[in-house]
Amino acid sequence: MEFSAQPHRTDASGHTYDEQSVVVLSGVEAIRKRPSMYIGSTGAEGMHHLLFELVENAVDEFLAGHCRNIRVVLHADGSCAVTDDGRGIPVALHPRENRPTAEILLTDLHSGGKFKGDAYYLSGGVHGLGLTCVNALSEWLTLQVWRDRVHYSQEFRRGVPGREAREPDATSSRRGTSIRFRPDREIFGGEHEFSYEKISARLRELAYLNSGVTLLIEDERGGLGTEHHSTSGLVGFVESVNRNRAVINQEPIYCRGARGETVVEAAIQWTTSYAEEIYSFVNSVRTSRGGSHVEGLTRALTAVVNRHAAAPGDALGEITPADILEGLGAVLSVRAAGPQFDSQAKSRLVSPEVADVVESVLADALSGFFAEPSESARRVLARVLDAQHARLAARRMAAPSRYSPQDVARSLEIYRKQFGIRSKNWHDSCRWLTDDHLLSAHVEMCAVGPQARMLDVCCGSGIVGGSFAGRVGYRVGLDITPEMRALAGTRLDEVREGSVYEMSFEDNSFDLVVTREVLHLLPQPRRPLSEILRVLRPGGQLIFGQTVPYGEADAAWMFRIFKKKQPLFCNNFLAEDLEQLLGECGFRNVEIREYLQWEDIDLWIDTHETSALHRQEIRELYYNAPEDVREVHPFEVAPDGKIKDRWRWCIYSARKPE
Amino acid sequence: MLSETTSLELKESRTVKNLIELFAREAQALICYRRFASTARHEGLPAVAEMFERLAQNQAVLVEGHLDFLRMVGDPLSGLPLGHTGANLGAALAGEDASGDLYQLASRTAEGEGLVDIASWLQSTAASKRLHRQRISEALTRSQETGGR
Repeated sequence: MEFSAQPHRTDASGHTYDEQSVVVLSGVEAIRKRPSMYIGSTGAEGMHHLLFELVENAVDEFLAGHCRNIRVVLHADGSCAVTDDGRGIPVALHPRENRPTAEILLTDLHSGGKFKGDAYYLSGGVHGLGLTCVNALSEWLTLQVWRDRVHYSQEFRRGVPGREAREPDATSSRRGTSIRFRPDREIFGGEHEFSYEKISARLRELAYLNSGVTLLIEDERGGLGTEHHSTSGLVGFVESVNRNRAVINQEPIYCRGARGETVVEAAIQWTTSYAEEIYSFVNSVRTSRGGSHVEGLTRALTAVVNRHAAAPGDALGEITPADILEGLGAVLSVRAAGPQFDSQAKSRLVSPEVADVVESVLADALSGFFAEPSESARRVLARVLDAQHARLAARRMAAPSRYSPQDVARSLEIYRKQFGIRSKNWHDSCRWLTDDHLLSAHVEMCAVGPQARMLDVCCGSGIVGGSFAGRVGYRVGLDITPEMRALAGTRLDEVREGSVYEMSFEDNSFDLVVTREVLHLLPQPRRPLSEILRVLRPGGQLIFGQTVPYGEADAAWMFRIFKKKQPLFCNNFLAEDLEQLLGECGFRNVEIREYLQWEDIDLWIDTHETSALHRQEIRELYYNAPEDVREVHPFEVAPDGKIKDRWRWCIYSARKPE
Repeated sequence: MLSETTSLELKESRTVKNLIELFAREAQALICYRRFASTARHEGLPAVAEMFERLAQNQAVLVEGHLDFLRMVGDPLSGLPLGHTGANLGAALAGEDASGDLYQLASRTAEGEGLVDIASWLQSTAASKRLHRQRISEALTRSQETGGR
């Protein structure tokens, strides 16, 4: 190994003194002084941004046609390495600076090839920030370059260049760049580490967005490893988005086009689900809150679909974006110079000119698809018209369900229709329905003998009553929805048609009555509770589970979420309200057991009774939840906007007096 | 249609009148709490400031929750229907029109009472409201021409 002809003089703290270094340190120090300004946060997010910056640089090499393989290794010492087989970053002495170009790229704030001025720099957050940020915020960094049959290496500590070496290697044709770094604990603290799942998910996205490149991740800490590679690009991406949904157009619509320097690519496929899943990207960066480009997509879809679907004199009126987006899976990727992002979230594009380009490119491609009299196009248009009809019907139905005085007959009618539709995918419509632990929590409260006669009221698919198999002698179900009764017939001994308000059973017919997540939908909960008391024998037991707020702090917030999800929602019980209600209805010996369960909110709200606007409003309630709510009510919002909520279930047991 | 009769009846209900009043009160409290927080911070009382800030966050959930119901009945200010953007723009414009007149009147009253600074303040706000009116009415025209896009 030979050392650089001009080794840097360093003092004890690693700072150099020569003239060149003054420039070098100004960049590095600016970043170290205000790291959040450059990478968004000094938490786990910021740390991952450093790694992604390196990966994205390598992807740029791929896009330039010089690199095929990118390898990420998460090392046991908390460092990580990104290696590519591209051209290798230049290491020759820079003509003006008289330093290796690589060193300039790693130490000079304004040196990045992608750098386009302050606006781009800040608005893009970390992307395009160049290697200097990675270097400045690393405890140490090792650069290796294979280029022109020379193996070049250089070490840095907290951004300060150190040992540099050039090793001629006449026999090897290897080329590429490898950077290994350990995020600086002085900046990021000691508690964060690289997440294999998070990085692998990002590499997977990049593989789809950059068809042909191979992205490999190896985790030395846990022995995990995955290779991400796609030849199908966005089409494969959208197919994977929709993999658990029933699709309408088997072959996704693929669009690609450019206006000036802006390149737009999209793959679009409708499904029978309700929620839309739009994955949007700007220069390969995920924009989880959408923005101008997604507006362009929506505008193009709305214009083209209205042109092809609207019959003359159609009394139903305009097809709205919500009708068109229902059940839509789409991946939209835009490459544009100088994109502007929302200053707060940085996950939303705010470049109006991009909206116009996206709209124009997609309108061309979509017009082609819909003008063709294909079976696919016909099915998509039928799907959209279905959504429009359902929206208008839901409006007619939902308004009185919300606003008429507590009309039991009307509520039952809506209930019957709604749960008839929902019976089709009932058990997949949320997590809680089939959660074994939640069901067990009900069964564990059971205190009647093995010969007991049990009634499951509002039994739905009979899953609650079914879980008492072996614990009771005979299980009867009761429900008003024919589709649900058919499902329950497979789990219970007998299923009857009927409403919980007026049950056709004799007094004292059952030892046990069970139900779950029903009372919040019943306008007059005292009446069913009294009916239940009537059909129970003296000493008989009622067991039911109900989601409740954690307390006063989240009650109003939770009301709004549940009401937007389910228009029939009319009672937001606090845990103690229900206890009191049971007492007032004549029950005794009330016991409560709490069970906390993570619910997948995106799944839960993907249902026909939740309007598209309400889905958006529910998400906003989570994103903007007050501190007081966050303190008592655990929920998580993933970087891609997906929400998990830790619901508080209370399971009640109460007795009819002897 | 059933839904229309229901919302008409509801509009006349005591409950909706109550909701309208509570909507106004809670919206006022939201703004006051933000200001109280700022004052508390100025006085070196960060704990009180934090409390008011958190209360303001909760207030926003409540105020918007009232509107969840009210928007089904109509705009609390103009009584016009709310819902999709076309309707919302119409209601907003009616609200701005009405308050524009109120400002003129209030300003003249203030002048008559010798409260010239307040009179001038009301003139200034009226100027700002004219801008609001112009913006909304432009958006409304665009929305009628192109469906809001």
